[in-house]
Amino acid sequence: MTSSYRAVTLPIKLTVNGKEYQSSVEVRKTLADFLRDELGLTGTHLGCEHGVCGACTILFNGDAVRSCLMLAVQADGANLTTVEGLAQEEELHPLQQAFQENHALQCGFCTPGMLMTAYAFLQDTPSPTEEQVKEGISGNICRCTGYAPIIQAILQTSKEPPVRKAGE
Amino acid sequence: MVRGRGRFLDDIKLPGMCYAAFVRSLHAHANITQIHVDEALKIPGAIAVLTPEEVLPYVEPVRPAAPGSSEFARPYDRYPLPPGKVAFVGEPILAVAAETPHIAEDMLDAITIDYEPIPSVTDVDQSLAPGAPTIHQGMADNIVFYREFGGGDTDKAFQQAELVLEKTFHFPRQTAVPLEGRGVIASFDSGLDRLTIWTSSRSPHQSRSVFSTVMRLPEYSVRVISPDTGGEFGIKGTGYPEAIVLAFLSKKINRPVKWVEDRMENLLACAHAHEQRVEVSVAARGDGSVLGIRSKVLVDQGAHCLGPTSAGLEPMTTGQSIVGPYRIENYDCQAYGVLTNKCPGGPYRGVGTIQGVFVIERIMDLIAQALKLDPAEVRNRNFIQPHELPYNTVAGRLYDSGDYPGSLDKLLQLSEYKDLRQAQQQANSRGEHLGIGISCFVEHTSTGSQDYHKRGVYGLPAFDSATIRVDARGNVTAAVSARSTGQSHESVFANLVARELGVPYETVKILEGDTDATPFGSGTGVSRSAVSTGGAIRLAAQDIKQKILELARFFLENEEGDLDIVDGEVFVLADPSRRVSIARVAASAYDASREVSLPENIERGLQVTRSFDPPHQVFGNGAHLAVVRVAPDTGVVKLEKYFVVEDCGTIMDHVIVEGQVVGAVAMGIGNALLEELRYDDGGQLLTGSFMDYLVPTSLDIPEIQTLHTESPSPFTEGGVKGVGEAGTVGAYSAVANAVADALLPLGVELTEPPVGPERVWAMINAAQGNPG
Repeated sequence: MTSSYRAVTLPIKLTVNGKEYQSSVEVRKTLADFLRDELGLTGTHLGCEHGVCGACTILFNGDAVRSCLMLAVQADGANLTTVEGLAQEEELHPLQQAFQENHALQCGFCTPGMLMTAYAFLQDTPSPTEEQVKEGISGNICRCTGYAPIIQAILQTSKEPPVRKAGE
Repeated sequence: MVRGRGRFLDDIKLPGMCYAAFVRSLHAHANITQIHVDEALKIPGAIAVLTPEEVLPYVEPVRPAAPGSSEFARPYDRYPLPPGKVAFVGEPILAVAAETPHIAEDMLDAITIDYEPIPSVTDVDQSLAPGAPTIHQGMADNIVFYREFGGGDTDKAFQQAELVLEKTFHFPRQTAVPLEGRGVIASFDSGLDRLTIWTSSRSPHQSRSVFSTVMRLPEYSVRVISPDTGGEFGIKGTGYPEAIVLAFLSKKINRPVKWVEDRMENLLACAHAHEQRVEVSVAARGDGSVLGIRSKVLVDQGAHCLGPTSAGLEPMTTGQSIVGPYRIENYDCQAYGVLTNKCPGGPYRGVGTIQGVFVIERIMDLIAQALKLDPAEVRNRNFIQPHELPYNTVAGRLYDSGDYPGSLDKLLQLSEYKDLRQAQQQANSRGEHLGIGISCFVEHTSTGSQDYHKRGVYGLPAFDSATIRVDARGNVTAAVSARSTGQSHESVFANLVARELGVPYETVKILEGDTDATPFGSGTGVSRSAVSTGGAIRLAAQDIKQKILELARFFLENEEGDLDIVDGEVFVLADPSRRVSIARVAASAYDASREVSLPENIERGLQVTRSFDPPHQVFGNGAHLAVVRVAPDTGVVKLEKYFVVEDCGTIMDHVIVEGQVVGAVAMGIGNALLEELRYDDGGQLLTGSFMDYLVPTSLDIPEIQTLHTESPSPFTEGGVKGVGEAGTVGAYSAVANAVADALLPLGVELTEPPVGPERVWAMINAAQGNPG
């Protein structure tokens, strides 16, 4: 049965953090695995691989998506941003700065997904209430912080003038 | 970390690395009659298969409490891969290696195992029943741990009792689910005849001891590296068979090999915890003061005991925690660890303590209910008073310091308790179901070797170590045996070194997580690092400081008066204008100074290693209060308010302590409301994904108001105590007590968390005689 499996690959072309990539990718490979294994962008983490925990969240043409639930071939032609694309060179994005200042991470494993979710959330809801922030990150699991400092960090960022777009 | 530049286990790639996967048992209890691997090895990219029989001749069995031993644990042999018989669904049977993780999984699909099922036992009663199948060869029954302990005269207490309560509590199976699962990379260097193992472990040195013992290797032949760890909460300790198997696999194929568990494997086969039945009888006076308790703690241990103390870990910890912060002078406990055909049990934050505290805190409320007293008042009538400390409990512990009534008093003020009770009365008279729950507790932290000996555990290192080195330019490294898994050791310990030595924080670097680069010690766990590693750091820093002062005198015209160090400068106390920088002094220790040549009799270098073994467990205390609203028609519990008074002795870093407490409360809320691993009667796990095993999201956690208070411990360096687990301990019972309080008017008596909608709804309907 499985011994007859043949690796089928397809060519894809995509932009990640402003850089263009061309690759031939095995069709069964998830987008998360592709980003991590082939592009070396290991900031995108895998916490459940079934779309619940949110650690693998990236921006797909500007929308927050779970890269563990997509195949790499589905990203052909797409423009992606991962956590590595948030900061500009050495200058942290205000969200990253706020996460540091508010002790919004302990082990740091959920942080990349949290940051990308929060980034997309603030694009859609630039001046959120606390309840809206809670709702906005409710699809991302953090086991360490109890969420309060993460919520504070996002609220703090929303009050700062204007959030620079990632990758710009 | 915020840049995505953390280096977690799965981010590591070694040249020539291949990937492992495990064939796991589909049966709860079965003989393995045949293994068919030929098809799997034909798959392009398949490298190898490792069977139990191949490993067996080269390993020592892992025994409960290995590499130490426990007087009360019954011995049996566990091998990294089970020869001939499996004992739980998900038990690893054999390992495969392939060029990619995908091909490794293809290999699993192509392997067939022939099983011959044996009757299984999936709960404590089945396991203890006469004629029950025994799970491990060589054992007469399924009791893996048993101990009776206590003191006083419970018979007399019950004779004098004016109120007797008899209750049975059931605690569900839960697991820590750190967001990053377990992972291992093993790399055998045949040239050096040495294994390097990367493992997401909180205790690299103990891990190395286990590898060395099981694989019959000297410790110098094994290096363990623990990279950034994505959450731990007790579960990433030692003794997992997968890690040992990977080491063998790497040796067999002479290549580095990686295994990272997926979430299903994590829920199925990592370590479970918390499942217990506790039966108690309580004797009390008419004023609510407790005279004595008899308890029977039955821990559903699963098929094996994980880690050094695990056989007795939950039974003893729960048994000893049941007396709480209260003056209970008569106590008998029978503590059992019982094997079942389920995933092995190990530690999970608040291990054992959460159940013991739950029992006594429910009892306090039930006494209040029986005597029509306020729950806070019943606690006040039972507290050990501050002047009685240090206090030897009848359960065999020595409480060091704290003000238990003071903590409750602060909690009542912080939460405006009287107003809360009034608001509750008004709401309930409107037909709403508001509940208020209190939990007061002490929590043991930082177990040292003496406490392990008291528990009958020997050969388990309970000290931690620090090597501090000041280099020739005055920069400082402190290499420590602990491993941070999110507790910010790199900043907390750097601050400690900076304060103790009197040097700027920026000049200090903490090294952790590599047995080749750090001194031997216990590692992280039992909320111990602040005490034991912190203690070792303080001792080493004091020694280094003495040496610096001694050398500095050569720069200060052989000054004989007192010196001190601030901001990296040594100065004469009587004349602070006379000073010399640490950098200049340090250079002399390396013969790199142009100003001073040290005499020959002065030992060169600036490097000290010290260890600290906590002389006693030290006890943090706390008081929590939860306010919940229950919707009886749906069973939904909404947490409205949460208050914490916390006392972990001297606080080393307020931000970190606050983070630990709030994070742990959130976890305890999950324990109380959501988390439950379920098995069917045949021993199949029913909760193998995050869709079934629920953990708290941002919507489940209310605002948590905290108040920190400090009762320094007389037993530790600097008076510090541990704090990592306290939040979970308080939250589990505070939330449950609040739900019980809300359900009281509906005639429900709560003895079984988690109190999520399904169970609350069922309890309400059962109490009201409605068919569920």
